[in-house]
Amino acid sequence: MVLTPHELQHIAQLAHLSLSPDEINTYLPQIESILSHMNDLQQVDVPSQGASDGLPSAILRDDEPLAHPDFSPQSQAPQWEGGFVVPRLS
Amino acid sequence: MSRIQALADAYRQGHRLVSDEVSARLSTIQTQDPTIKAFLSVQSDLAMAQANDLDHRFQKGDPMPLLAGIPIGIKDNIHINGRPTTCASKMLATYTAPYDASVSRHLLSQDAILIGKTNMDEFAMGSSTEHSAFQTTRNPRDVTRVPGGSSGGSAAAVAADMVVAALGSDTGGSIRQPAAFCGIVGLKPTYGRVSRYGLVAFASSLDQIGPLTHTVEDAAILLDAISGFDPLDSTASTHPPTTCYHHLQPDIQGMTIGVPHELLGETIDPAVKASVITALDQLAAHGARWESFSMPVLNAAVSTYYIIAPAEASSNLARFDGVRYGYRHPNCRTVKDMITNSRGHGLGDEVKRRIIIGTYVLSSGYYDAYYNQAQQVRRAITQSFHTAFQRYDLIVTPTAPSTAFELGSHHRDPLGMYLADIATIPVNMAGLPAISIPCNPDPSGLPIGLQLIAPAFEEQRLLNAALLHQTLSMATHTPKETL
Repeated sequence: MVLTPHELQHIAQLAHLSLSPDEINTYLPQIESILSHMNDLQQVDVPSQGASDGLPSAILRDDEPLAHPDFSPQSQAPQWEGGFVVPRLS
Repeated sequence: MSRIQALADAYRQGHRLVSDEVSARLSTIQTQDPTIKAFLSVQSDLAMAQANDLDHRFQKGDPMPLLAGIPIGIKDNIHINGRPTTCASKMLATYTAPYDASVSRHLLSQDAILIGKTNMDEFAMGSSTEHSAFQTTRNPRDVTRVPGGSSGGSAAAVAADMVVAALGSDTGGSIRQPAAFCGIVGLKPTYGRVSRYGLVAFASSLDQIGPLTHTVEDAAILLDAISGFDPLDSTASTHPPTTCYHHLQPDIQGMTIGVPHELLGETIDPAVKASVITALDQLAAHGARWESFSMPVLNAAVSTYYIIAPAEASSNLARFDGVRYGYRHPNCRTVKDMITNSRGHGLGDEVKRRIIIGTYVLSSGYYDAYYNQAQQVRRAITQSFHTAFQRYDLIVTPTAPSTAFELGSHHRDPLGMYLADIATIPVNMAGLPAISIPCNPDPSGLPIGLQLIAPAFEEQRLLNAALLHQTLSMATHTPKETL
């Protein structure tokens, strides 16, 4: 795995991160080393499955909305007057 | 013997005042924490006011919960309403939690005293608590060494007796590994057993909150207190709260223990290996049977984890953009500059490295090769545990391949640090419960952790076996030597 400084900069931009030249010089060999190690994964023989099948599904409950007796959106608001009160835009 | 139960009994019988206990803990923090640096914030006045109120209620003879007046530390990625939640990040240095995490609410409703917020690796990314933006926590057993991480502040605070117990979070071993390094007990419950509501997310499919304590009994008490269904966490299981403490019995009679030889091989320090085998032989002498077996897929666990966890982190941490939370970089010309500079300057090296890795493995052209493949390996790991538990009641491994390493020794080698998580990561991948308990220390006296793993929602089995080991092991009861 060879990652160029330009590619690293591009990935950082995708992640909305500004990186200094020093950081690029530091991270580049570290991330290359990590990605090289991860390439071992390609050698693992696994049955073809969807990406979402990795979760321990047996312990997940149904995805149904549930009300909480002690919870309301208003309780989270710093200020509530029939709606969230936010500073007026100038 | 449960330290929580002993203290609760002393309060009830009038042998100890809550205010004296809290005052003593605050005094320990004042004298030791300038060196250990376990806490990021301590709410002394609040703790003393609560303690005085509890003393009045104990004196009146009010019925009190078991946790009433018990000083507890909370990792600084778990919300307590009105108190700071920094996640040990410059990004959240001035952030105040606007609500209670469900676990905090449970503890406060039982009158526990949440004495302060403990240091951690930034956003729980790290294994040494050196990746905190504010301070490096030291191991109370040897202050030249790390306490482990990412819940290193919680582990150090318990090990140094600054609190009776603490809560941490465990995404790839962040409760168990620091517990092992500091010579205490660390329990990672089954995924979904404890609500994650109010825990700042790192990798949502792996994160789980759990206790760090001196004893197995205390871990059971805290698990009972914080577990149970919570509609505010969409991944919370519908299981009722556990009742492990009242059903605890030191029992391993007739159990079969499997030991994956991939986690007891050449990569494991010989002293750690010897200590784990001694512990296994002790358990065998009390009615268990153990044997080695193979789980080859475990060799891929670290690579799998360090694709899935950063991928989830890169998404979860996208919200820290300088607009809605915390740090905002000054003097930016455009909104885009403001966001990239706020993140670039507000987040630390380890967090940025992982966000970059996560973004890379999710990007077009690499998604199938990395992320999709990792999810399939994760499924294979889960399946492998499922198969193993058809033959074994428990799986036992060392918690970490070595004892606590020296401060700064992995500073320039993130991959080396990642590989040290090999024994704890598979448990998170499969969503299983596991506990780290102290076994015989190495020849220099550094603690070693024994990891017990059980099938999902079998915490009672886990704690019963751990309690038996605790009664057999001198390590748990060896007086701690701090500083």
